[in-house]
Amino acid sequence: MTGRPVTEVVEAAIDGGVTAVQLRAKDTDARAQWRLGKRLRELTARRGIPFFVNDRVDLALALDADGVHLGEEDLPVVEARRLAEAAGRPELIVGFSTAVLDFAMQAVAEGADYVSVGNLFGTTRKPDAGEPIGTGPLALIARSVTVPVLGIGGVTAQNAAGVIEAGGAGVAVISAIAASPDPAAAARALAQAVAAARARAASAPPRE
Amino acid sequence: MRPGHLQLILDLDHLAANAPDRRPGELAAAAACGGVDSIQLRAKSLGAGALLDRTLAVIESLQAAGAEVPVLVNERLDVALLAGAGGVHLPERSLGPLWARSCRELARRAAGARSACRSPARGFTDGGPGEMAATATSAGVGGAARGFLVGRSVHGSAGAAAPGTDELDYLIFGHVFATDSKPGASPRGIDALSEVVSVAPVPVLAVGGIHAQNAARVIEAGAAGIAVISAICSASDPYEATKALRRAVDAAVAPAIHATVDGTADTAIDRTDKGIEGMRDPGTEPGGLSMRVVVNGRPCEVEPETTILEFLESRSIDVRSVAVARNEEIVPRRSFAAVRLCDGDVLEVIKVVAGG
Repeated sequence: MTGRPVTEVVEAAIDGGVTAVQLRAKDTDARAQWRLGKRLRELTARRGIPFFVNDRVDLALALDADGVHLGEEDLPVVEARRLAEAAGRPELIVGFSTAVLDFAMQAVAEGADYVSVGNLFGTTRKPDAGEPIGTGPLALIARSVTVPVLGIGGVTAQNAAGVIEAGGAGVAVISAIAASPDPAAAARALAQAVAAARARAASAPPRE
Repeated sequence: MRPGHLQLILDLDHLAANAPDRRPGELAAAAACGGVDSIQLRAKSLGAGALLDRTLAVIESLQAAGAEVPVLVNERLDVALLAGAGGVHLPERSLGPLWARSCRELARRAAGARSACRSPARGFTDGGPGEMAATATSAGVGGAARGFLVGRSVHGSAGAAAPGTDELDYLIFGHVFATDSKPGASPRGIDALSEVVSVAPVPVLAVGGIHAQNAARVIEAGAAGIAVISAICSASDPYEATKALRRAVDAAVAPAIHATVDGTADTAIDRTDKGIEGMRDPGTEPGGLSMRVVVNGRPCEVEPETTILEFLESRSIDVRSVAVARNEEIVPRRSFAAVRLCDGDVLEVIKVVAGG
């Protein structure tokens, strides 16, 4: 990010219309994640939006997060759900990132509440994200699973409509907001683009 | 944690770099049979999915070997709980000791849950399909019911005295001696170990460049035991290497027990007369099936195959309050259940009131 306090950026993003916040900090140690997580939990609770922790189910539970977001290398969805239930948090939201239809279907069968598909347009934030895949895989996955599908990876206010038109329920962004000089305005532009595309999709006759 | 604790740090990254042919599960089983008291499993390069699979495989191997040695997962409490591991070990730069309470609370809440079926499709690289199926059945949120261990690494007195440290089961301090595992970093030395021991509210294990020849030095400096990586993982025969470490640590701890016995008055040492009373029992197995042992100087008949644990329990002796020497060799308490008495054995059962 650009040196601004994380909480300031997040607060501005929520002002602009972000509806969920996920903490991802794989390169920092758990103590730093915990400290930031505490502040984000407090902030998101105050603003009434759900808070997610990436990868670590234990931290998600200990921080009383609303959800955990998992990737293909992380704990399987079924395990995260099992631990959440054992810990008395059966309502914990479990998200899963993949671009592979089989993995998406398996994750949903295991109890994933939503699926994120990327890298759609080429992110600069995730070195291991691979080549951009476009919206094709998202459209395929969105047609095949019963849970909401989000698009991620280089999504901007300019291309967000394409995600919704492909069947996406929303978008997840890092740079588009965090690297913007005005995070609130950036979030607002994204939220408006998504809302407009959703309205068009809702009024258009269903495909097929 | 008993004096003379021996922990194997099974570092899968270290293993992959130094002994790629060695299977972690086999190594763990060899070390467990050789006498380690706990195994800490770490693999910083692996995602949590693969770490869970590896942890399950190691636990499965230990179970197959009949070894009841707790496995502690480095850093990842969620993986430890899902694998039904015996505990979690926190690096110093991880969550602080106050996290221990959260760990135990989560472990306690999660203890009742049982395994659903696992999906072995992802991330499993350690074994073939057979092992995969085996681990799939052993998955379980649990282990916590028996007491979930929480340890932490520290690198100085400040860490050892951090608030909440008394809620931990143990600390690991190091590295004490120069070690290949941390090339370039200068060792912290024996004096620093003594200093950490003096401020730590819980037992301290020494780590770093420790082998059978220098183990006694860290025990003398106050360490409750040792943790090793290379001394076992890089040994040509991990089982024999573990046994050598076990002997070295036991020998280093044994003088401490003797010192307790020698240095205290008669009130502190009580040859367990209760046990000797019990020994006059005719025994439950009349006829030619009993064998003769000498306990605290008195002959006594026991059933063949009796373990030291069974013997002590049959005499209502609290195993936690005694030291046992068999044929003039101290038997580690950990081995009471494994060591079977033989005809003609000479046992000394010494109640240690102070120390321990």
